[in-house]
Amino acid sequence: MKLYFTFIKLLNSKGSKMSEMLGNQYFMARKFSEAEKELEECSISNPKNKLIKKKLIICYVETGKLINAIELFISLIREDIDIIINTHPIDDDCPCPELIYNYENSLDLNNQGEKDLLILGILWLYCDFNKSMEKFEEAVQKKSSDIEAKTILRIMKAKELELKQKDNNPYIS
Amino acid sequence: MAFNKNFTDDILDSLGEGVFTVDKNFKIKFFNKAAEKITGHKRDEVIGKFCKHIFRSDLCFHDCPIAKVLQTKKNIYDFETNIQSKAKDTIPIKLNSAVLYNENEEPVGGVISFKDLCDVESLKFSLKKEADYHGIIGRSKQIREIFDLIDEISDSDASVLIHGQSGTGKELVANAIQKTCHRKDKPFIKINCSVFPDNLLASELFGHVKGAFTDAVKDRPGRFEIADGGTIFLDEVAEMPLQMQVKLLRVLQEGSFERVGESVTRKADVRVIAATNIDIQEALKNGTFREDLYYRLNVIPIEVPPLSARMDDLIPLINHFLSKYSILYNKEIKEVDEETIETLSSYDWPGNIRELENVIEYAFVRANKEKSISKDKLPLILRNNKAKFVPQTNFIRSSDFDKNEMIEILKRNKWNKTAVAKELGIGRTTLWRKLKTLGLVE
Repeated sequence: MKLYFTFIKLLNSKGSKMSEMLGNQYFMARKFSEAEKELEECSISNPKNKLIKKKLIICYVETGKLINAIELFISLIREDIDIIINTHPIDDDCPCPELIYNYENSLDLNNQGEKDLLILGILWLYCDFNKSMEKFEEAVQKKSSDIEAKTILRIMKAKELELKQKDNNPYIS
Repeated sequence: MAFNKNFTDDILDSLGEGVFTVDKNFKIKFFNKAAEKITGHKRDEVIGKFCKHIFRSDLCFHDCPIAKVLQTKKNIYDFETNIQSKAKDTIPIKLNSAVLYNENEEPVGGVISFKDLCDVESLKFSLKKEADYHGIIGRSKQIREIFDLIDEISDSDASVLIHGQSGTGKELVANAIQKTCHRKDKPFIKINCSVFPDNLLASELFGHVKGAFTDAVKDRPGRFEIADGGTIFLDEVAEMPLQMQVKLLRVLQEGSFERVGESVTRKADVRVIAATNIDIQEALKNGTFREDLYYRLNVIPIEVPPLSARMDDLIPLINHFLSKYSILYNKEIKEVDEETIETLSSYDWPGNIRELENVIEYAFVRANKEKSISKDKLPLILRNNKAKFVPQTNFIRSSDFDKNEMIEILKRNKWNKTAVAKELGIGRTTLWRKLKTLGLVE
């Protein structure tokens, strides 16, 4: 076993790209700030990796970089909205149910601002398509001039339509 | 030679250490049989699950070992932490951790091997229990016989005569007798009878009064008085001048003595443990050791075997001295390599355990960066030694003789126990125990 570890050590001594795996660990440990740095670096070197983007959106939300979060969120749902919709809370170790719970408990439910609604809309899409739609609709109602919210809602409505056309679809009530 | 996956899995399954691997998302990809045994989780239950959900350790959130390797690019060895078993018991473990890379040198996963420290601790405990008896290291049959004997005589006040070569640990045996006897909380006084000039020994043992001799400026109690109610250990007792042997005999017989320069008789209740490394039969024959004193002291004889006769204890003793000098010299040397063990095992050890300790200390001083002691660090006398060790296996089973047969042997040897022991090819300690079992001694 020692020899095996020595071999691994030799490999470790070589320069290597390790941001994604380390980012995954930080994300798993809910260290969003550290995860953001690693995943951001990895996303630049690997722009086609949608799983990295999916996590990076949550990191941006949690570190207060809402503009970055919305920009990346729109880009990802345009490319592949299913990658977010199909998230399993346990199998994918998704932090969103917990984050939503904490976020909603810290807010006045009857008086959520546009920013809060956008954040909740993003997070809810990882857990519940309809809830997410509700939040984005509320956000548009609050500020009809918000282009980002309207863009998101347009993509989601297109997806809703697509899903409604399918029988027994699990996401749309 | 290329191993296929099943082959590798079989190898990992054969290890005693728990091993699991994770992919780059920290989902478990492999879980060996030892890991199943330690954690209580079945392999099928954990494959594809996040490791943090299985091990439920604080480490997963604050100090993930694989993340540490990713950050520092240095593997982790012997890191101690806790995990939770399937039954939610806390399991202390020691782990090694490394990152796995693909052909492009990108990290694609990690591997952790771990030992259950509960097992290690219980093993350590049992080894300690077995190997350390009130400071005496050993688990050989010969040494365990002595441990048993010490336990058996714990209620006795009878005199004990410990015989053994220099460096065999006679004083440790005396310490163990004192620690286990009912006088353990009373004074335990030690004196080496060979280091005092004749005229001073009497003063040391029995005390003196002011003016008894030139330097006697005030009254001073002797060791027997100080030891009253407790135990005195007379090392090198056979080196005592004959005149002093008479006085000692009187203390043993009557419990009374006088301070030097005083006529008042004093009494002391002292249990005597004596030790010698001389050939007693020879000393009795030459008249340098009084026969009456010998028989008075030799109520409970204990023969401490030379190291060459208890080589089963070599490894525990080496480990003991490695631990001792690791602390004293602040060096992390925890083992001796196989070639060195072979060399140490082939040596006769005329200086016994004291010589072994000196050898280990010598090697310790010479080993600077090594984690283990190699043969080239040993003293020249050992490196050049070619002798082969032949283990001694002389012992008898308690069922070997009945009482009548034993009496016959005793009669044949005129009740000389040393001669009987010699005839039977056993130590006098073993003989004493045998006689006790048969009801031939009190």
